[in-house]
Amino acid sequence: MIRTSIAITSAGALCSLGNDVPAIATALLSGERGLGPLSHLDLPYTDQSFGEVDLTNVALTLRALTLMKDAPLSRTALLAIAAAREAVKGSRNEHDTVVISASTVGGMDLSERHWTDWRTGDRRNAALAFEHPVGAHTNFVAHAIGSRAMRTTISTACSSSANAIILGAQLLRSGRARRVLAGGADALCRFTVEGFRALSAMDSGPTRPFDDARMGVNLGEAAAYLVLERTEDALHEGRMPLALLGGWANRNDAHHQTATSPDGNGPFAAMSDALTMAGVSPEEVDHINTHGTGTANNDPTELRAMERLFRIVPDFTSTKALTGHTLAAAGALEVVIAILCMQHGAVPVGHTTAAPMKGFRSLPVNSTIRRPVRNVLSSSFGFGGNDSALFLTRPES
Amino acid sequence: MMYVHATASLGPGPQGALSLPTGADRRMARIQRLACERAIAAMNSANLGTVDGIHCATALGCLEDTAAFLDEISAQDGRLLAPLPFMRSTHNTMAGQIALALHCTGPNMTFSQGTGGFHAALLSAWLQVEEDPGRNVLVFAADEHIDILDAITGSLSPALTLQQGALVEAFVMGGAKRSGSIACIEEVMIMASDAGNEWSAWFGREGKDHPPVLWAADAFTGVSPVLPAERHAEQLRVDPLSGTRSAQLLELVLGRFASKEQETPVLLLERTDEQQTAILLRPC
Repeated sequence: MIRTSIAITSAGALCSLGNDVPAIATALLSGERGLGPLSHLDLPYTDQSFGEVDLTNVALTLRALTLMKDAPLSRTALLAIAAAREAVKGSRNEHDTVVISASTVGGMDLSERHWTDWRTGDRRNAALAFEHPVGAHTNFVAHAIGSRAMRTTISTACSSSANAIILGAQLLRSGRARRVLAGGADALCRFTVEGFRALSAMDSGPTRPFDDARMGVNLGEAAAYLVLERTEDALHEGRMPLALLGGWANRNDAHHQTATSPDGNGPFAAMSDALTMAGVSPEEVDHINTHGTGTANNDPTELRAMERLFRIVPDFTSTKALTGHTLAAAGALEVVIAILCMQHGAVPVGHTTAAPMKGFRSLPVNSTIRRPVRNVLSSSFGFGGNDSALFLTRPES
Repeated sequence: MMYVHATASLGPGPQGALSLPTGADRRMARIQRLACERAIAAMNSANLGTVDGIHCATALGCLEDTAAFLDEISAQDGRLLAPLPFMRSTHNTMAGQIALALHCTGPNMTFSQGTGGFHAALLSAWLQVEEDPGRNVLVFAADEHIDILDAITGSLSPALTLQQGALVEAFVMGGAKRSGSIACIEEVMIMASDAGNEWSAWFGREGKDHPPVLWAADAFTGVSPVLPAERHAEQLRVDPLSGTRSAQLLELVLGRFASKEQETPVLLLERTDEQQTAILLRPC
């Protein structure tokens, strides 16, 4: 099969680092960490760090300019619309654009607010249950940009939006789509916060990926979308790619429902197969944007897989130490960050390691490195043994 | 083009080669156990030991655990909650459990878009076998009923009655025809429900040989596909549990193929407020 080249020609995102891509770039390059106490979601955990988008739902509604009849929208949908509109530069005429979004919580913020009412037979807000399905926000995104093409939603836990990008690339390569908006959105909500608390997988202070003292994630929220096209189409129509997607792989660890195998077999297969597809050797990778959740299980298994694949592990970072773990949005958000690294010639520091993890020879970057970044590997893993990796290349001007 | 080799109840192979490892279902919820059982039955029916990828569709995911965790949150008084319902509540739990049971390390996808999630799972499977027609894949749809759905749907669409319990339809498919293959899927299409011209154009191309149309109305809204006049069409009725509806329709048509009740191609159409979908398939 001819390996059609896939181009990323536009991007939109908002997360705790900033409310659009330029703001995220500024924060990233100045070494800012977008972690702190909650100011919008009402939860009693005041001493806990989160990566919250600094906009109220009202502000998001105004920003999204939705003109939707079904207010109020879930926060996931509001975040998604804002990022999607940035990615298509405000266009409402994306008739033929396929929309592939990702989410794990969907409208859970509304469901958890009205759950007790629904349970006790109070039906006043029953219609809001229509926003609960994780696919609901994708319909709103499609309406907001005027898409009449295929749309779908992927929910593979924390690898969801990496898989949305993979499906988009596959559709383009097969000729089933000419233009794809791919990404994901997840709002912070009590459901996930209580879930990660129950798993004892949250660090109360700022998260410490790849540090021996790591205690878990800081949960975050975000939406991030990319416009994907075949490179030849983009160049033919005068759109310069931001990055090229040269390889990808979606693999399963098939080891345990929530834990990765000790040697990181699934992560290894995903990273290795993405490089093989791109036709590059491990030595050609300049930078790895890791999954790097800061949990007891993820970091050593991921680093073991990296040390198996690379003779010398390239400069690696977990930007979840800057944005929080944004769950289904993480894969697409980290592609946006990888593009910014290429554009600005920088590998950002996440958490500054105090104590290296025992038994490993590799450390994440400990201060922002200014250097040309040409090839980036971006990893996204998740519950259910899902392991995905994307290989990105800076386009030559 | 993608061949349907077997389903949990239709297929050529000897029964009982694969089974769920003893104790594997101990920590599974109802819908996960049923998904694993149906997947294994379909694999046995296809006489295959494993597949190269797993493609799942679910409209509402693992609802029982989602509701259990929401109940715990509502009753919480500051204490830590038990993590099991949360761990099992993610939509991809079923596809993950099946990957474990089948030792499948290939692509693992879970889609959620009402009834159309199933068509996306089919397309995703299609794209995987298109790269290498020697591949086989498992495609399944799963959803479950919980009491609170009745309360919510009851107030919004009083006439609607949902089946109780969980529903799973599982299919083993592949890029190459096998001796017992039941059907060949020739096209899968998903468009927005307001894609009028694009839909007519597609329909004109794919429906040029006038295969009979089998269709289902959306039980919740009553919306049905737009059909050209003079077209032979038959409405099918299946349980409206939304994420599995399209898979139930496919299973029904495969049954007709297997029994020779239907010996020519058919076009399976559905439409909701948001999407219209089509599957063109013929018996093998």
